Amino acid sequence: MLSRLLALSLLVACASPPEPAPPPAAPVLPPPAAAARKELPPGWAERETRRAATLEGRFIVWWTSEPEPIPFNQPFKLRVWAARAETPDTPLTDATFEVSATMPEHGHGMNRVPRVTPQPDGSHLVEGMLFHMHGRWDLIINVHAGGSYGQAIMPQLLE
Amino acid sequence: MIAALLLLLAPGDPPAPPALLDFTPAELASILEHSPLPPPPSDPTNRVESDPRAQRLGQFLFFDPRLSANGAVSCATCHQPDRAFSDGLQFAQGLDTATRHTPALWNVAHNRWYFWDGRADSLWAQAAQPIENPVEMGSTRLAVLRLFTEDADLRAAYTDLFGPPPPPPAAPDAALLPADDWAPVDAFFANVCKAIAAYSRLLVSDHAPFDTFVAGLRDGDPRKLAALPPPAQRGLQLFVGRGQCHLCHSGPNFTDLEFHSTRVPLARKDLRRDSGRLTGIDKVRNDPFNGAGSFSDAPDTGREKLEFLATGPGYIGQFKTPSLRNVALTAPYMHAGQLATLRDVLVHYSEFADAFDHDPGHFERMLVPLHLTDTELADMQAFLESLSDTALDPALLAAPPGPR
Repeated sequence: MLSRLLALSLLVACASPPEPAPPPAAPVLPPPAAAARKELPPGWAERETRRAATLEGRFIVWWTSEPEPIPFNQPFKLRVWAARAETPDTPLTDATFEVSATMPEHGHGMNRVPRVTPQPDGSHLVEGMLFHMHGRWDLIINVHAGGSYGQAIMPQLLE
Repeated sequence: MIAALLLLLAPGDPPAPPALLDFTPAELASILEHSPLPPPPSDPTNRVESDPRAQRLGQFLFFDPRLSANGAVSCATCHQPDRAFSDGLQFAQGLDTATRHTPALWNVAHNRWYFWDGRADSLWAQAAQPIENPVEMGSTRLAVLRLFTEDADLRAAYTDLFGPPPPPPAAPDAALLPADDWAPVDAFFANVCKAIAAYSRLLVSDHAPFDTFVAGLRDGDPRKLAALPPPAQRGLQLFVGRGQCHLCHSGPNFTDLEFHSTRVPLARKDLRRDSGRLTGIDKVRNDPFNGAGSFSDAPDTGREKLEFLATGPGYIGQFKTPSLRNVALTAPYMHAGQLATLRDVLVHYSEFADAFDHDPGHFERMLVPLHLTDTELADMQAFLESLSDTALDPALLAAPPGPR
């Protein structure tokens, strides 16, 4: 219970949406196609995937955590992907990412700078994450691809 | 658990149920997170941390003033067992007067970082610094090696664990010798510190009245629930509620293990602002005894802890969140002992009347005046006093007769 993670924003959707199913219209995004995640290593493929549009609408990003849910005050990793909004189920292979997290209610973020490493399947591995306090964390994923830039901000409540 | 609590209200259930505050589900969840205290996490960078021989040697060394330059200062000079391993002074007093307050040691192995500024990343790396700090014990690793060479009992205790200590080199300083000639001295010193850490790891305090109360919340035993009188329960409710103390003092050791600037006033007007965690980050990265270094028993693990560290001016003035277990025994308070009593601490966080607000970056927006009433301040103090352990192991509190 203490480490349960709740999505706060409608920008964020789940791979297995709760019953009854959410309305199909935007802004709730469908889960990524299974093909986009099939190359995940053991232990990742079954995890909940969250998905959001970047603020300016160019990209869709999605991510999953290890462990899942995000633990309290313990290191965790992320896998992130991005796709262009017009082809949301086709992961980009040339995207680069910067990942950070802040606590807007506190005025500070993590005491760590995570490392983002490209993976053969087009995803990126984010290591070094640690949420050391309970409360709202805004996970920030910056995407660079094809000369374009996008930023997704996804509030998470760490209980 | 809720069913167990309801049982307390059953008519005719002897003994009479103690008064139990109407905690909200969120408050209960936070309270339960704070107890029981699990065993401290393993430190793979110290291969002897659980070896009874290392614990015995380390306990002997902790109380041995021969580790200091003048033969009169031991670890226990500042870390006094009857004061929860603190010293009651504003500033630590070894060979000279330090600029920070002696931190308490109970449950010290639960820490992620050591010292107020986190400039060490393990208990054994921490132990190395006071021995050679000219303000504290003022000795040298070479002097410690000579002590072990001359004292047959120390030499035997060391040999049992690590093999025979190296012969002292002819020159008194690393700068005067080839690196290969000095390296055995560093390795010896690291081993001595690992033994001290093995003892310090035993300093576990987990039987406060608060722990009894939480056990009562879990099993419904009214005798356990009676461990926290109504004023302390009200203080607890403030702690996890309106006071938001639990945001930093989280988990079963009442600390998030990290660093914050909490607007505490300067210790003295004539002192420069303490840069705190900012310099601590640089020092831990460059500490030859850090977990990634050549004296670590698990450098890969140690590297994982260090390689993601952020830095920048926002860390100026940040200090480690201290545990609150046994806090009533460790006055004065804060990194420079600038607040004399628990009441002073509570008034600071309630009013921020003398707050220092000139740190350049990090600022906890959550720290707003609470304007607690006198009753609320007394309730909070009653709760903090309920964190004092009453069942400490006396075998840990004094020097053993010998190092083996």
